[in-house]
Amino acid sequence: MSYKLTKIILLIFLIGVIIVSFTACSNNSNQTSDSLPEEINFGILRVPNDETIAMVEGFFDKYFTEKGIKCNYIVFDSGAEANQALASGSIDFATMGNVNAVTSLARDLGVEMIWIHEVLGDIEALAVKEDSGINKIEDLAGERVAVPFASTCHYVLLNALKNVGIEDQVQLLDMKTTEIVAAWQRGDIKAAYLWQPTLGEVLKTGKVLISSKEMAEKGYITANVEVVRKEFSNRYPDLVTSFINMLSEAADIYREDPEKAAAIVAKKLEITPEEALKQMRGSSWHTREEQLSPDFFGETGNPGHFATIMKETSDFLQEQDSIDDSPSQEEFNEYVNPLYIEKSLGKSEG
Amino acid sequence: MDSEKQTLSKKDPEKEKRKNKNEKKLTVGTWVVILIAWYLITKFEIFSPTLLPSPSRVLTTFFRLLEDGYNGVSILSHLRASFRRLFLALALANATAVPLGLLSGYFSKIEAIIDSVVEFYRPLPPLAYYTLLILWFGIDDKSKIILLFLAAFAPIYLACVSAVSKINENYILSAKSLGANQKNVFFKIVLPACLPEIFTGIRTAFGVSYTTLVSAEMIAATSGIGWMVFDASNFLKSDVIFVGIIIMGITGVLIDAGLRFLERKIVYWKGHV
Repeated sequence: MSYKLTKIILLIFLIGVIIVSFTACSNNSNQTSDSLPEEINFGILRVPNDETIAMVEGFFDKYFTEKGIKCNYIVFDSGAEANQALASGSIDFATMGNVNAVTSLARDLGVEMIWIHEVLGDIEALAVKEDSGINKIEDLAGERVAVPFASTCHYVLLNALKNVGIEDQVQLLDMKTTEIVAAWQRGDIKAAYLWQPTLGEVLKTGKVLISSKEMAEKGYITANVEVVRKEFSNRYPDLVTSFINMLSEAADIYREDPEKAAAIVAKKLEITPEEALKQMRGSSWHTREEQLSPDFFGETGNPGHFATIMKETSDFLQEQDSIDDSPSQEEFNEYVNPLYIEKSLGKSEG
Repeated sequence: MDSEKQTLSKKDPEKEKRKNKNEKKLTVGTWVVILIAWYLITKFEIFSPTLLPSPSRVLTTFFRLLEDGYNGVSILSHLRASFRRLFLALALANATAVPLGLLSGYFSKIEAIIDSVVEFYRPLPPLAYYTLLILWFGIDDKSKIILLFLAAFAPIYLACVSAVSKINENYILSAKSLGANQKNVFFKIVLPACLPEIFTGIRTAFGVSYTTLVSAEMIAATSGIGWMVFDASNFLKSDVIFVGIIIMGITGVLIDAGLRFLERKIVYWKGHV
């Protein structure tokens, strides 16, 4: 009898599992295509950029809330966390470093890149303690350097070490930016590659060895970019265009009056306006027209240089064993999508 | 333990044996169902491989990790780094929590001093105070071992206090009336009587500190099985995460089995009194 019982229980279990997995997938395809979503979830970074200006100035209300869409903001320390949220479908838009955006494509998260918030310059840098006696990158051999792994900083640092041939002699420690500040103040680490506003903290007792600006001049360009889930952008292309309009309007404030923009983000990020202005000057912001130039997105059907940068970054990540397969140049050309910037400028017939 | 209890109860041993056999079948069956469901879900690609990698992919990754290691460090070295932290912390916890726990159970004044502190920090999530430990003890192994130690301390301490309070007063009184001094009472009566519960405390402590391992290795580590899982999550390497979790699960079960084996050898009288 009990043998029969075992069989029955197993059967019920198996059926249960199958039903659950099928209802789970039919839920996904069962969404009705209404004109507007009830809410949009934005993954954001705490950095002085156009998105932060837009938040403080209430642009999200103007562009989204007034249409009856609820906006939720989820703050991430780095794009690695944002990718996890994208993978589970918890967020629609996400700001992240382009290194994480490469991961999004390589892991097939079904997203596309639609905007470059800023091209990173002095805002990210390799800092060493004043009294450490480290004056050039070669001196780092045998030292420990802290850096948030899988970030733009990590990518640039690895290349900086590789260029002088000491990548095997430096121990890298994976830490969040706030943890780096703590370890720095304790004296556990003498060198760290990180971004503002925490970079400013460590530079109080440190100096810059090399910045992402200098590395960008050597061809290792990094940027903070915006990605959107394709499922969202295909259903609500107009909302994605609105989002670009909004960011562009916010960035105009900075272009017209940097002091005013600095005062706006300073409040949100809890830093002084002077500090905010310095940090914002550490990266370059580009207008929609500039983003459509061959240097960045290019135009639909005529991909710009940024897709090549992404492919180079991707190949490097594959070499590092961080991703299994590097997507092809064609996939990157499609991934770096200028369509919504074109629509925002009224250039696209679509 | 359970099986011991069952064989001790005076039922028909043949019937008991059959019942055990059926239960084993159910356990094995559960795992077979889980594996089949896993296989089918990935076979029909209901979820993307990033969300749920297939069993064969996880297996391939496992062999690749065995061969090449992760981040240039072999899997065994990662395990060794983790277990060094874990066992140092457990040893430290045993060395302090057992005497303090027994003393607390013995002398209510000592309990009054220690107990409230333990009760206060015990429910705190480790990540809440880990940053403080890093500030105080640095980013090296010291802060990690202390975090694991704190996780392991409370269960052992509490088990000891409760064990002492459960001792039958008559044992102590009769020993004393037969002329045993304080030292004899402690080593001949109290300690042996407490051992079974101390062991349970140690096993719980192992479980708690093992669950804290990933948190401990999240910050500034470059080795350890917990770190491997954490680092893999940066690039959404879910196959590596699966391998890490399966390794942790299996080693966890093995170590617990080892502790149970020790318990049976040392506290062989358990269940017989």
